[in-house]
Formats: sequence, C-alpha cells, structure tokens
Amino acid sequence: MTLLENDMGETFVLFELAGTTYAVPSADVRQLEMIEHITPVPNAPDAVEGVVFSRGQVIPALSLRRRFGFPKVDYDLRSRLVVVSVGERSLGLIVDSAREFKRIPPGSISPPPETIAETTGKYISGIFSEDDRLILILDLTELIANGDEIQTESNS
Amino acid sequence: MGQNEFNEQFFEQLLEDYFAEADEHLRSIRRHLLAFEDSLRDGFEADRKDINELFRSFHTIKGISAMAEVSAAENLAHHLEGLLRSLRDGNTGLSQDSLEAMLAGTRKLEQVIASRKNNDPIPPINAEIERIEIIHRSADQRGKAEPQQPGTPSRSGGSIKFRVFFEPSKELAARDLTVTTVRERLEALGTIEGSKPVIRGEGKIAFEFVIAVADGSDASGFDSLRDDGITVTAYMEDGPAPIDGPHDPDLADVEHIRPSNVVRVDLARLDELMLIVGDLVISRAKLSKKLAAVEDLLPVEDSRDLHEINQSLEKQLRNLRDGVMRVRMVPLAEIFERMRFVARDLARDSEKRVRIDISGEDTEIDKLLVERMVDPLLHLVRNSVSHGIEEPEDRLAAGKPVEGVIRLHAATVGDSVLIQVSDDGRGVNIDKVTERARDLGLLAPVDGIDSDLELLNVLCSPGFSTTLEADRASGRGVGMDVVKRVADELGGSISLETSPSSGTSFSIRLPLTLAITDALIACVGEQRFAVPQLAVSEVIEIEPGSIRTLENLEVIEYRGRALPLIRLSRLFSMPGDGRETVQAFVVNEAGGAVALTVDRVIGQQEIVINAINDPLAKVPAFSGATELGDGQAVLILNVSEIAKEQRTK
Amino acid sequence: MITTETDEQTLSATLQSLRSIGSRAAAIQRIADEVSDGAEEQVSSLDSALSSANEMAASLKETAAQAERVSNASERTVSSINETAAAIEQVTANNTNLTASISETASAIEEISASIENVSNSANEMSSSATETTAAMNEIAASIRSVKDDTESLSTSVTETAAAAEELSRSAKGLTTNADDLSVAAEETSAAINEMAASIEEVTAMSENLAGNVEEVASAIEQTSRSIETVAQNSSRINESAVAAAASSHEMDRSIRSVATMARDASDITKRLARETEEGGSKAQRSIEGTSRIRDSMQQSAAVIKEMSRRSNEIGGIVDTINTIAERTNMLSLNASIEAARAGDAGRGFAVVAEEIRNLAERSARATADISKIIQGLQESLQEAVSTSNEGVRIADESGRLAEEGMTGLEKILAGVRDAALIVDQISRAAEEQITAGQTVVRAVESTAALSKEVSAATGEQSAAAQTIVQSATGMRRTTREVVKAMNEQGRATREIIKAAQSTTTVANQVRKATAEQASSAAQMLQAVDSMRRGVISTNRALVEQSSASDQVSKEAERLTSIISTVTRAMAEQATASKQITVSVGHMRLQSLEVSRAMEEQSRAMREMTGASADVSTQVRMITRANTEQASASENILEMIRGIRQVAERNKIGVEATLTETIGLAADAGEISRILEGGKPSARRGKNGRGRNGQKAEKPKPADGNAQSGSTETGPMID
Repeated sequence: MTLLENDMGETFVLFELAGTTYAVPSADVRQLEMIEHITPVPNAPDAVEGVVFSRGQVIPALSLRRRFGFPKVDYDLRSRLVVVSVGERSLGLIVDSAREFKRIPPGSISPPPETIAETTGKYISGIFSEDDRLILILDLTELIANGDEIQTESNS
Repeated sequence: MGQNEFNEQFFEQLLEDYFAEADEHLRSIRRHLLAFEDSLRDGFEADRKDINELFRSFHTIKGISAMAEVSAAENLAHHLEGLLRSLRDGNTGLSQDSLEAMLAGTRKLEQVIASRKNNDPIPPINAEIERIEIIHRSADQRGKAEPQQPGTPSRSGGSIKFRVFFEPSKELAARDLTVTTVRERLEALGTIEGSKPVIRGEGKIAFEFVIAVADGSDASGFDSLRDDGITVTAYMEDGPAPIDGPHDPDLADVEHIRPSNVVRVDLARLDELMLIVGDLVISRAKLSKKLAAVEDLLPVEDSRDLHEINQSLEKQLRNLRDGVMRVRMVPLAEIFERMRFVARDLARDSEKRVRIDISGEDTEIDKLLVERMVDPLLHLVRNSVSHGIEEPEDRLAAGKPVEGVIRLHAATVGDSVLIQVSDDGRGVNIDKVTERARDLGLLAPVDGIDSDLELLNVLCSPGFSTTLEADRASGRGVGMDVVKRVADELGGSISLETSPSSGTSFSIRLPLTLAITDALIACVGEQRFAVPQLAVSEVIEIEPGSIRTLENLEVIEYRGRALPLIRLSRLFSMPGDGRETVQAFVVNEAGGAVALTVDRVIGQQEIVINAINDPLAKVPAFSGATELGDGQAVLILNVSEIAKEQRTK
Repeated sequence: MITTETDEQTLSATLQSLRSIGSRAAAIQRIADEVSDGAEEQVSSLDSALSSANEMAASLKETAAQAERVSNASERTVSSINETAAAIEQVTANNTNLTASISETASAIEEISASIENVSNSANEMSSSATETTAAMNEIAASIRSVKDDTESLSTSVTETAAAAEELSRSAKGLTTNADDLSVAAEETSAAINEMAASIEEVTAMSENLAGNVEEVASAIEQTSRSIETVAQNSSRINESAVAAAASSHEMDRSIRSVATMARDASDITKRLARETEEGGSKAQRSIEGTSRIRDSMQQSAAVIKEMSRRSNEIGGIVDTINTIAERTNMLSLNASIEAARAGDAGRGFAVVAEEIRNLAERSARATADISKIIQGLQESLQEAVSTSNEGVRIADESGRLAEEGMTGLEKILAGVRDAALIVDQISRAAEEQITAGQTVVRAVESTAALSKEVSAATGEQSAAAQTIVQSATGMRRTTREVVKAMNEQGRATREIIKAAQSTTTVANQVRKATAEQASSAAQMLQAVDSMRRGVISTNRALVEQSSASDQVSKEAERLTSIISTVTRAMAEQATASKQITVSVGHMRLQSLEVSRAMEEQSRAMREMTGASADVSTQVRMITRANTEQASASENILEMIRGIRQVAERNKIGVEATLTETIGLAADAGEISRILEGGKPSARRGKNGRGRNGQKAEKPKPADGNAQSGSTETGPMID
C-alpha cells in the first residue's frame, strides 16, 4: 500500500534537459546519482551511453539528450543519473541536472499538445504549466519501451 | 518506537514467516499428493507415512494460517486436515475422488496463500470445501468416523504414551474439571510420567501431562477426557517441545513436525550477503594491487608475510563466496515437482495420459532465478500438455506409447544452467505457425520458417499465440514471448527443437548469477574488458608481419594451422592504439579456433560477474559486467559468442 | 884557329890578333871575373833558392803534416759529420747550392790539388829542369870556365903562341915546339872546346830539353792557369751561388724573420685575444651573475606567484569541494525526498527536513558560485602572472644558460687561445731560433760567399799568379828559346871554335909547316897567331856572348829560380789557399753543422758534404801525398838546384879556368907576338897558371848534368 498520493498530488522529480524541464514520478525513481564513470558498450544502441553499477546492479545509462536528439554536452557537477525502476527493469537516465522535488496536483496536468507530440511526443504523458515554465511529464514506460525498439532497430 | 509500530513490524515479520512456512508445507503436500497419485495408479494403498505427513502439513498450515489471520487458508487447511484424518483412520480409503478433492483443495490453498501474499482478493474456497465435505460425508457413511479421533498413539516398550493437555477454564471448572481432578482421572488411567505447566497467551496457564498407559488397555478413559474438552494426543518419543505459536486446542493429535535444522533466510538478506561478498572480493583485489605496489618498499619478511596473508584471505573469501552462493542455490527439484503437479492437473482435464519424468532435479540454481523461472516453466509444461502431447488415439496411431512423456531436465553446463522441457508429442505445427505469423504480419507472405531458430523467434514474438483464448491452463495468458523475455532478463537464452516424430524440446539456458571467476583483463582502445579465463585456451602475441590476409580475412599461423583473426578494436569500432604487435585470445569455439586480438593483456584478476539484464544494454558480445575495484563497470567478453557470430558472418 | 868567316883574315890577322888577344884576354879575364862573380851570384842565388826550396820543403813538410792533421781532423770531422748528418733535415736551395758550391769548391779544390799536383809536377819538372838547368848552368859555367880556362889557356896559349911566334919569328926552332905545344894546346883546346862544344851541345840539348820542359811547364802552367781560371770561374760561380745563397738565405732570413714577425704578431694577437677573452670571460661572469640574480628574483617572484596560484587553486579546490558537497547534498536530499514520498505519511517529516536541507544546499551553492566566479577571475589573472613569470624565469634561465654556455665557450676559447698563445710563443721562439739559425745560415752563407770570394780572390790571385807564371813561362819560353838560340849560337860558336880549334890545329900544323918554312911562315905564323887571336877574340866574343848568354842563362836560371820560388810561393799560397779552403770547408762544415743544428733538412747536403769532406779528406790525403811528393819533389828540386849550383860552380870554375886559359892564351899570344915580332919567348910561364911543363889548367870533365859535388874545383886554377 503506497501513500504516494494525497490531495496535493503526486510527487515528481524534476530535471533539466537542454533548457526544458521534465518530470518523472518520484515513485519510479529509485535514486539520483552523480555521473561518475559510464562504461561504453560497443554495438549498443546509440542513445545508450553505456552501463554503470548502481546498488550492485549493472544498469544501462541512457543519454536523454541523444534520445531526444539534442546535441551532446560534457558532464559537470550538476549532471545527474536518474535511476528509474520500471517494472522489473532498472536503468539510468542521463540528464543535465535534477534538483527539484515537486508535488503536482493531478488536476493541473494537461495532456500534451499536438505540436510536442511530434518530436519527443510519445514520451510525454502530460504538461504542467507553472509561472514561467512548462514542465513536461515523462512517460517512462513509453520511453523504455521505445528503447526496445531502438535496440531492435540498431541490432538488426 | 511506539507499540503500534512494533506491532506492525511484528506482524510484517509474522506474515513473512507465515508465507515461507506455508510454502514449505505446500511443497511437502504436493510431493505427497503426487506420491498418492502414483500409489493410486499403481494400485497400492497410500503410504502410511505419506498420510501422516500430509496430515501434519495440513494441520500446521491450519495453525499458522490462523495466526496469520488468513482465515480462508485456515478453513481449507482444516478441511483437508480432516480428510486426511479420515484417511489416516481408515475411514476412507484413497480413491480418485479423495485424491482429486485433496488436489483441488491444495491448489486452492496455494491460491489463497498466494493471493494473500500479493494482496490480491482471496478466491472463494467453497467449491473445494464442498468437495471435501462430499468425500467426508461418504467416508462418514462408510463408517463411523469420529470427527475427532485420537491419532495413533505412540508405542514404546509395551506401553503407550499419551500427552494430555488441559487448559483450565471457567466452564471446565464448572464441570469439575480442574487440574486436580484431571490429574486424578489420569492417574486412574495410567502412570503420569511427567507434567508441566504451559503458559498460554493472555496470562493463561495450561497443563501438560505425559501419561503412560499399558498397551492394549482401554483407551476409552481418554475419550471421556476428550469429551470433557481435554486434549489427549499420542506422545512422540523424540523431539523437543511443541513449536511456537498458539496451538489449536481441537487438535486431536498432532505429531510434531520434526524440528528442522533448516534456517529460513530472507532472500534479500542473501542478496545483501552476496553483495557484501562481492564487495569483499573487490576490496581484496584492491588490497592485492596496493600490496603489489608497496611490496618493494617493505622488508622482505614483511612483504612475504603480507603476501601469505593475502593469499589465505583470497582462499577464505573464495570459500565464503562459494558458501554464500550455495546458500542461495536451491535445487530445481522444487519447481520440477510443481510442474509435475501442474502437468498431472492439466492432463486430467483432458483425456490425455501424461507422465512427467524429472532428471537433474538436484541441479541448483540461484533462488532468484528459481522464482523467475516458475512462470515460464509452467507455461512450457502447459504448452506441452495442451499442444504437444497428442490424444491417446493419435499417439497409438503414431506408434507412440499411449502415455505421453514430458521430460524435465536440468544440468549445469559451464557457467550456465540448462533447463529442458521436452515432450514426445506431435511437435510444433510449423504450417499453422507460419499461417498465423503471416496473419499477424510477423512474416511476409512469401517468407517461410526455415529453421528452428526462426520458429522460435516467431513463437516468441509478442502477441503470438496459437490459441486465442486463454484457457484455464494458460493462467494469465503467458505467451512464449514472456518465456523469452524472462530468459533474456535473466541473461539467458532459449532454444527450440521440434519434429513431428520426436516431439518438442525447449531449452532454457540461464547463466549462473553472481558468479565469481578468474578473468584476464585486456585493453582494447582505451577501454578495459574482462575475459573469463576458462573461455580462453591461450594468450598469444602476434607480430604484424605474421598476419596474412586471405579474401579480406586475416589469419595467422598457429600450431601448424591457420587461425582466423578477429580484431576486437574493429568489432567494437574503437580506435586501436596503433601499436604494431598485438596480443590475442585463442578461443576454441564449436566451429573451430579463433584468435581475438586485443591491444594488450594487462592483468589477471578474480571478478564478480554481474549480469546485464536490461535489454537496452544487452549485446551478445558481452556476457555481463564486473568491477575491478574502482567502481567503474568493465564489460565481460563473451568470447565464444563473438567467435560464433564472426564465423557465421 | 880558323874561323869560318875570317879564315884567311884570321891567319893574316893572327898576328894582329895575337896582340890584341892579350888585351882581349885581359878583358876576357875581367869579364870572366864578372861571369865568375855572376856565377857566384848565381850560386848564391841558387843557394838562396836552395834554402828557399828547403824552406818550401820544410813548409811543404809542415803542410804535409798539417795536411796530415787536417786529414785526421777531416777524418774526425767526417765521422762527426756522419754522426750529425742524421740530425740535419731541411735543405734550402741555397744550402743545396751551398752544398753544390761546396762540392764545386771541393771539386775546385780537387782541381786545384790536381793543378797543384800538376804544378807540383811541373814544378818538379821545373825543378828537375832547373836542376838540369843548374847542371847545365854549372856545366855552362864549367864549360864557360873551361872555355874561360881554355880561353885563358887559349889566350895564354895565344899569348904564348904569340910569344912563341915571336919567338918563332925569332926562332923558328922553338916554334915547332911551340907549335907543337900550340898544336897540343890547340888540340887540347880543341878537345876542350870539343868537350865544351859537346857540353854546350849537351847544354843546348838540355836547354832544348829545358825548353821542352819549359814548354811543358809553360803549358802546364797554362793548364794550371786555365784550371785556375776554371777554379776562378767556379769560385766565381761559387761566389755567385754563394751570393745567391746569401741572397736566398737572406730571403730565407727575411721569410723567417717575417714568420717570426708573424709569429710574434700572432703571439701578440693571441695574447691580446687571451686578454680580451679573459676580459670577456669576466664580463660574461658578471653578466651571468647579473642574470642569475635576475633569475633568482624572477624565480622568487615566480615562486610567490605560484604560491598565490596554489592558494587560489586550493581555494578553488575548496570551492569545488563545496560545490560538490552542495551538489551531493542537493542530490541526497532529493533522494531522501523520493524515499520519504515512497514511505508516504511516515516519511512526511523526513521530506520536510530534506526540503530544508535542499534549500540550504542551494543557498550554499549560490554563495560558492559567487566565490567561484571571483576565484576564477583571480585564477585567470594569476595564471597570466604565472605564465608571465614562468616566461620570465624561462628567459632568465635561458639567458643564464646562454651566459653560462657563453662562459663555458669563453673559457674554452680562453683555453684555446692560451694554447694558441703557447703554440704561437713556441712558434715565435722557433721562429726566433730560426732567425738565429737563419742568421747563422745567412752568416754561413755569407761567410761561404766571403770564403768563396776569398777563394775567388785566391783563385784570382792564383790566376794572376798563374798568369804571371804563364807570362814567366812565356818569357821563359822566349828566354829558353833565346837560350836555345844562344846555345845554338854557342854551339855554332863552339863549332866555330872547334873549327877554329881545328883550324888552330891545322894552323898549328901549318905553323909547324910554316915554322918549318920559317921564313915565310912567320908571317903565316903571325897570321896564324893573329887568327889565333881572332880566334881568341872570337872565342872571347863567343865567350862574351857565351858569357852574356850564360849571363842570360844565369839570369834565366835566376828567373827560373825566382819563378820556381814564385811557383813555390804560389804553390805555397795554393797550399795555403787550399789549406784555407780546407779550413774554410772545415768552417763551412762546422757552420753547416751549425746550420744543420739550426735547420733540419740538410742531411742530404751533409751527406754530400760528408762525401765532399770525405773527398776532401781524400783530397787532403792526396794533397798530403802531393805534399809528400812535393816534398820529395822539392827534395829533387833541391837536388837539382844543388846540381845547378854545382854546375854553376863548375861553370864558375870553368869560367875561371877559361879565364886562366885566356890569360894564358893571351900570354901565349903575347909570346907569340913577341916571337913573331922577333922576340924571344918570354919566360913568362906559369904566371897564369900555365907552364910548359904541361901543367895545364885542370879541365873540368864535361859535366854530365849530375852534380858531382866532389868534383867542384874552384880555386887556385884561376889566379
């Protein structure tokens, strides 16, 4: 029995990627880690930066920049590895920074508009608008599921 | 910590214990029920021992289910226990009906406990209870079946011992049943050999007597005691005091379960233990490295001593690691037995005759794997029963024995465990599969299925199933794709062989998780890789001049034959470090030997193998990853896979 | 006495002549006296010649001895030259020339020696000639003496004859005896005259021989003269080459000097260079010190900047750490929030705490971001400073290193310069030594030149002397020719005398006949006597001529002697010259040794010189031999001179005899005259040493050219 939700809404972990703020449900986030060393895996899909050890487990580190088609940048102190658990799977998402923890009332999440749906589209499950920024809620399952496609595509 | 919290924690723990214990007992129950089945088939009477044990198991489950407040389980267990009692008392014989009832009841019991475990809604148990009751009633009709019969007393040296349990209460006291009066009655019956008070919960005190009664004497005195609500059971010679937890006062005789030498350990703790061992291995590796670095700075004696200490540490760690791994390992026998159960079940639903042959059940795999493999194995067995084994007529027509055989086999092969599920049925209908595949768009209309490998791929495609509706046997609709997925996630693989005459054989290969092995560390480009030493037959050095090129293939002369060269730097699209002389691993693969070139071999080390489970990072060339002491992941080369892949290019 | 010319006249004039015979005889006597004196003079001059010859012999002996010594010395020199020959290297053209000239000189010496030998031989021959001449002279003297004696005898005889004739005329009787006597006397005279003639013939022959010898001598002398000329030329050449050598050695000297100058210049330059290098070195040293001070200060400032940089880096590091901590804190707080959310209600409190921590971390991060910026700016400027100071240090290091390199280089240069200076010094010293040596060479060459000049002069003198000799020889030739002529004339005269003597005999016979025929014969007798007188006169004339001839001969002999002396002197001079030359050669050798000590490349020359000196040694030996021969030759000369002296003696005796005879003849002639004049023969007899008792003047036996020391009779024959 989880008590993630209350009237104030679900909690999310917010991260930045190429100037845009994204959110993932904190329940899906196992933990945040600093980017230390990522071991590249030859012949793995492009977006897969490599693998890392996290809690004694070998998990893939997915570069969201590459995944979303943004140019690659060097890692710095603010770069984070967002270790998410989706079902049985655990993997790390490389983001520019992840510094916020936010409660978002579910009612304030609107579905993604058509325009965005085209690009990173399928991965966005909703949008939250706040003051001066838009927070895009990520659909992890989609992200990871599409990751499978990536695998099949690149391995064929 | 507040009382509530304490309670909560206590209860949590209690539940965990409950599930584990229930599991154990259910295993035992299944085993015995299957034994019953065999007996029945063979025309024998049920074994006394099995009956007793079954009885005990149900009894215990009843008790602990009560404690865990799983009333449905308690209820079921209670009825099953009763049935067994009838059996034991001879009021009913083992029959197909009773067996079926027992099986059904046991199944439902499993489901109930599983539901409780998963916090799912508890399934109804009425049907099964009904069934049991039917048997019971008939049993009653057959004979005067006393609902509560004393168990078989213990005999020892001409006298029978009984254990009398008396819990005083107001009512009893009102009927003049006090300790004293009970005692007097007992003394009238026999010799009191011992007595002791037993503290029950809530401040109550009960009394326990051990009384020896001459063999053959009238036991009716006890009946009167029982009528009065005093528990009289047979007393077993050996064994310690009864197990923890509240005892059901209605329990006529309960034979204590042999206290076990088994310690139940939470798998998570084992995981943690394994991690700790893994950390120890890494730390030792670090220590080893540092030792090598400072060796020269120390006096000879000291460095020698340190070296010895390091060596013995290595040995001890290895032992520890092996020990922990063994702790985690469980024999496949358990799930195999469960399969047998399932298969029998399935076969019964149809007209088919199915036998399950089990071999290699002692093969141990990591507990983690076992849990994950249950579903896929179940599915495979169900498939075999449903689609593989033909109807008896068809079998006869095909010249096969009427009884179909499903063989479950497990063996350790190298660093993997091989689990095979094969049947001697009709094989997979390739045409049908092809048709379906085309229908689903998995195959182009012109394409055919040309190999078992392709067939497997098709079968494992998500959404593929030859029967649309999930029959009862297919449970939640587990398709072959799940089998594959689980195998993949566990870092294993599946393969298929099928033919109309010899049937179908599915093989699942699972790597042994958390293996620790000796490896050679090599550099390719800027990156380190680990290669299990067992996979390498030799490390050789290659002069550039000795490489000859034949049709775009590089070979070198090695022990009088031409050895193909595979440049890992090229394979991994890495820049080589430009050196002329390279080193290579000679790998003997099924198709021949191959040399895989690296820039140089930089060392040798014991490594902990971590599986790469996530499909995103899974590459055939790598069988896992390890850590060499600095926290960085180092990929482990699957040299035979690389060799094979290159060969088939 | 019938003369070819005036036979008849003589007969007729005999008487007349007889008279004048006496006076003539007196004159003859006087002349014979003079001749005798001359002969004495001759003898004395021969004596002196003898003594000179003795001296020469002595000096020759000494020369020989000296030559012996020289020979020894040159032997030793040869050996020492041999020893040192190996050490001598460098041959200059001039030295070669020197050698050549030495060789030439040596060969000249050789020639000189040869010529000396020749001369010696010639001298020998001359000596022998002289001896012969002396012998001849002696004979002449003797013959003249005998002629004179004879003449005197004749004169006496004539006088006696005259007296006799007179007596005869007085008494014809006595005439016959007188005539016999006369005849005898005439015979004797004739014999004597024959003898004389023979001896005169001999003398003539001898003087012809002499002439031939003189010819030979003359030609030898001419040869000598020529060789001397050659020598003179050679020595001129030597001189020239010596001059050239001198010039070249001057050049060499100049070049050596110039080398020395250059060496000195080089030495000066290198010394200056060394000084300058040292100065440079000290300057470099100062600059190094200065640079190293700069470097030190740069390093110090660099160190300070580095320190600052390090501190700022530390601060930067701390800031980084703070940043990292802030980040980690943020992350951990986020993780805590996540877990708290998972825990639900239970985690709420924790979530709040996590939030607070996050805020704090954020504030801290912002603050450190500010610090970070400041630090960054500081680091940038420090970095600049560091790189600048690094640059500065590097430059200072560089210049320091360069300066040190320069210093090292300078030191190397200095060492090299010092070495060079040393070498140059050595060169300079060597050049100086060379100069000295060169000067020595120059001096040697100059002295060679001088020597060769002397040689030249000597040879010139020789030449002149030779010329003189030639002239003398020519004169001698002439003289001898005249002598020959004279001799011939004398011979003719003598033949005439013989004829006259025969005539005399005949006349005497005739006189006998005549006396037998007394009467008419007296006149004949007188004529005869006259002719006798004439004959005597002729004889006297002949004698006179003879005398003058012998005078001349004597003079010639004198001249010969003087010539011989001259020759001897010349030879002595030659000897001296050759000795001088030898000495000069020795000097040259010494100087060559010195030169060879100073210069190196003269071994070949030295070897040649060795050879030359060996030759010289040989020559000297030859000279010694020659000297020995000369000595013996001079001995011979002595002998010859003695012989000549003896001849001269004999001559003198002869002359005296002749004088006596002439006196006798004159007396006889007087007698005859008296006789002819009808006087009685005077009893004057034996006054002039003659008497009828046949006490004749001893006729000297004709000189056979050999000195008969014992037979020299002088003395009382002539009153």
